[in-house]
Amino acid sequence: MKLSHILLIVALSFATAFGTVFYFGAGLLNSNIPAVQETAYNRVLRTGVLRCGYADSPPYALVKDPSTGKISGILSEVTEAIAAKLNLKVEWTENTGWGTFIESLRSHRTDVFCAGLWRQGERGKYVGYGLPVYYVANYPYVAVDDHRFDQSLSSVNSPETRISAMDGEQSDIIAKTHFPKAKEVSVPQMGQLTDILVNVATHKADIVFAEPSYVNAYLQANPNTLRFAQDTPFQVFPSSLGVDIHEPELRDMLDSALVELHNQGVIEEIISKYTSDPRVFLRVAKPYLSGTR
Amino acid sequence: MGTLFDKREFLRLLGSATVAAPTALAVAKAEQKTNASSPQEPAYERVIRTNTLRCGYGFWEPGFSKDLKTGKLTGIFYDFLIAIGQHTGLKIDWVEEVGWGDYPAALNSGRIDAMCFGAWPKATIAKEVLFTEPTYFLPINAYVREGDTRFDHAIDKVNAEDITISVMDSELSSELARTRFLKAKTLSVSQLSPAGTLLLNVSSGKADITFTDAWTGSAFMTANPGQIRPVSLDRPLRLFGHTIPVARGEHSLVSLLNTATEEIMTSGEFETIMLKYAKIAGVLLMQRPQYQ
Repeated sequence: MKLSHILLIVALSFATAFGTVFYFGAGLLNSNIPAVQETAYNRVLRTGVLRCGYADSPPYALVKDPSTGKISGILSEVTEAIAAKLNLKVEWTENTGWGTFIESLRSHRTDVFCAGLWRQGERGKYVGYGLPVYYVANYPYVAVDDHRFDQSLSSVNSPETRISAMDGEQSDIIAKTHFPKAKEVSVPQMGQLTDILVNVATHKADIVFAEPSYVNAYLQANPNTLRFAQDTPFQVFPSSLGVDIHEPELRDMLDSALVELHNQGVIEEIISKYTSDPRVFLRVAKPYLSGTR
Repeated sequence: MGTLFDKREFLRLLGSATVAAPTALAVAKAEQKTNASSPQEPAYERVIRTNTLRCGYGFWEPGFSKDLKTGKLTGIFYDFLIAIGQHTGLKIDWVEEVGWGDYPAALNSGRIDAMCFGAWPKATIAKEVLFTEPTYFLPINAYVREGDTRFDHAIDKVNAEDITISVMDSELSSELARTRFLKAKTLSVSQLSPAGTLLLNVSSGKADITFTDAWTGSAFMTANPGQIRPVSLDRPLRLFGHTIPVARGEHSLVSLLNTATEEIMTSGEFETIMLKYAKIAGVLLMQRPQYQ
């Protein structure tokens, strides 16, 4: 075989190899590496649109009017204010509810979950939580004539105490985590959340841990039935927007706008429009000390 | 084709090329594999895939210790990581004991996913690792002999040639002496010396002052009453939060651990853990609530 023939074989081989790679793409060499998907952060900047997932969270956080489709509430206003700071348009893309918002974020159907999420470790495997917009607090409530727990809640953790709770809801988690010895009077998940209040008001249970947002509404309809066992929060939950855990740039961008809104008093203005009771939504502490040292 | 090859020869060459091409492709693929940047799986992806957090640890009171009789692990950070496991559903795997200076390498090589013993976030180490949000804070105080009030609310007086500072090599005390009290002399002990040696040098009169954490200081004062005292300061010399370091670039893992941490802090569980171990008030400082 002549040298020119050998050279031609080599040239043909490389031409075939590189032509094949060029034609079929790098995937032939990198079959294990998935195609690079545009990040939500880059997509938001490219399109100027923030695609929100949401869930109904009445009465204050987020509500969708069933007839007009209009979305309102503290977190809808906060999301719009964040977007305005960033010169973005909000698109209320998908009512994911609480059950499928993670899948919606991971599959890039939505960029952000905008209805407010309580930080929770199990979800934290997949969700990058933003800074808190506000904190929601749980308080202990008892029947209006019951003063047994006014000084201390330590005696709640006893087999004689009946805690009213809804299965799988925060009242249930608090009962199981903090008062394992107490007896639970359970309301099924399909029941009304106010049923856990009715149980205490009617003395079927001794105590319930609940949010003032819906207790206040109950007390308006049923005055003088329940009272705070103690006027300090038993447990607080930061409420924030959430992105896919692989989107730190998007989360940081939203946080920057949120901090600006906090510092300008805009978040306070929005929350105050919805409730004057300071116990319903605890405010994010100022990052500086007031007064002089 | 007529001048260079006849038809049969061309077909033979084409056949050879057909055989050689896949070979070249295989070579190209092998070459690319060799040159590929480290294909190491990110710690976050591994944690999610295996549902296990592989923890490194080191021993220090009251953060992390081992019962010498039973071999059982205990301490604030041990309990805290167990709580993280409960909140996230992750299994906590205590993989290996790692030295203070070695944990960045252990994290970045993937030997461990997180250093679970409560590390101080220091700028020098931040070049190599990421830190989670702090859990509690430990003040660094100055200690002098009992009755010595020269430096009360006047710590700058330490920066004088007739003052001797008891320091430990490559440790915070020597860093403070080097950066803040340049004029003072130093009495150095090796890193292998027990933590109390710094304070012993002060109580025995070999040095005027030393800098160490409030836990070590309190423990020494309890064991050796009436020998040393903390200098009264307007604020601690330093204040370090206790965090969980992870490898650089592991933002998703930091997010996961921060979420679990906040949940444990706001639920009151962390306070319960602290009360179990921190018996002396004012030594370990809890994070103030982020709400008002």
